[in-house]
Amino acid sequence: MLVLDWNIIWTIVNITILYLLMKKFLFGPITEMMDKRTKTIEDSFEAAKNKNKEAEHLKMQYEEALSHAKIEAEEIVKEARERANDVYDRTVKAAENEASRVIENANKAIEVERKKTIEGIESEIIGLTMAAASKILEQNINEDMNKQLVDDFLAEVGATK
Amino acid sequence: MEAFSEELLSQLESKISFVIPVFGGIPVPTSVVVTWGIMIVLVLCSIIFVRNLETIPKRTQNVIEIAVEWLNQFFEDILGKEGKRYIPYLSTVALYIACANLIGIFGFTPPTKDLDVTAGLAIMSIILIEYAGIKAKGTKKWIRSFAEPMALIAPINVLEVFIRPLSLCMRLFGNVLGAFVVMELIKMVIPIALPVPFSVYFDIFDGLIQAYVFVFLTSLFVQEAIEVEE
Repeated sequence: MLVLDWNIIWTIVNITILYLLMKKFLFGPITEMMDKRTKTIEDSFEAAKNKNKEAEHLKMQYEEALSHAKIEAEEIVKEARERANDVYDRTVKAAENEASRVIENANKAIEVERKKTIEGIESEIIGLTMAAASKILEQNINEDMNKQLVDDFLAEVGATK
Repeated sequence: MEAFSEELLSQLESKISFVIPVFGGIPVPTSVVVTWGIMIVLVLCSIIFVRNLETIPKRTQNVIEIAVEWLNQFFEDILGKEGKRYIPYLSTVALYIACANLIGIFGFTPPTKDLDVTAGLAIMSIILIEYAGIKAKGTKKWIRSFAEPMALIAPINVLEVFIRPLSLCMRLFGNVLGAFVVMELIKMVIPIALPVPFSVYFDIFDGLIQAYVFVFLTSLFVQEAIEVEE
């Protein structure tokens, strides 16, 4: 009954084999699977956390971009308005200058024309006067009268000049 | 009474099931044959239930995972993180002893009733304990650990190497043998109805308790061996 013999070897060999088989078929795969699951869950949590963070970051970026865009838009509008004002001012000034130049030119032309007309009229008048004078002289009314007439005329012409 | 004790003694005798006809005949004890049966059942069950593992577990996978997790947790609580590598062996022994003790219900002779089997298990336990100690501490420190806490008790520490497996072996063997003898006696006195509650106690409860105690003590000794003093 209480006999120990080399049959112990059987048990040692059996348990060793059983251990290897159980490790291969039961504990190995199960532990591996559970570790894998733990890892998967941890990974998905981590991924979710990262995604959240990323979304938060993006949101902040968008908000910043939006406020930037607002400021930029305001600046653009302001600038455009300034530029438009500038252009308007310059255009008006240029137009004014042009107008004044045109008016000046016109005035000058008018002056020149007037002078020319006056000159023409003068020469005409002189011609006419000469003709009238010669007519009068032809008539020879009287020396004094002639003289008087010419003098008057000349005075008159001089006054108009 | 004479005949009864005679009968009981013959029951206690570890029998030879058959002889392998090589090298002049290798006798195979019954306990070894039953052990093979247990091994086949355990391995087949493992293969059947563990294949097609899924990340999201279903029915049987859940049950197996809970059982394995329970074993893992039980041993990890005792051994700590450093002893994690010994858990599969301890779990295997726990399953084997539990099956071996319970197999009496199905009419087989429990292999743990054979002293060779419990002695084999105990020898493997002490090999595991000392191996774990050497691996964790290094050979020098392991040898020195026999002289702790003082050199005076070194002989006792050395004796412990033999006493521990002996106590493990005898505890398991004695319990199973005792349960077997008591059950035989009860069956002899009143063979109907009465053996049932006793069988529940001796075969199931005591069998599981002994499996638990065996691996619990082994893991406790392993923990003691791998524990590194500050």
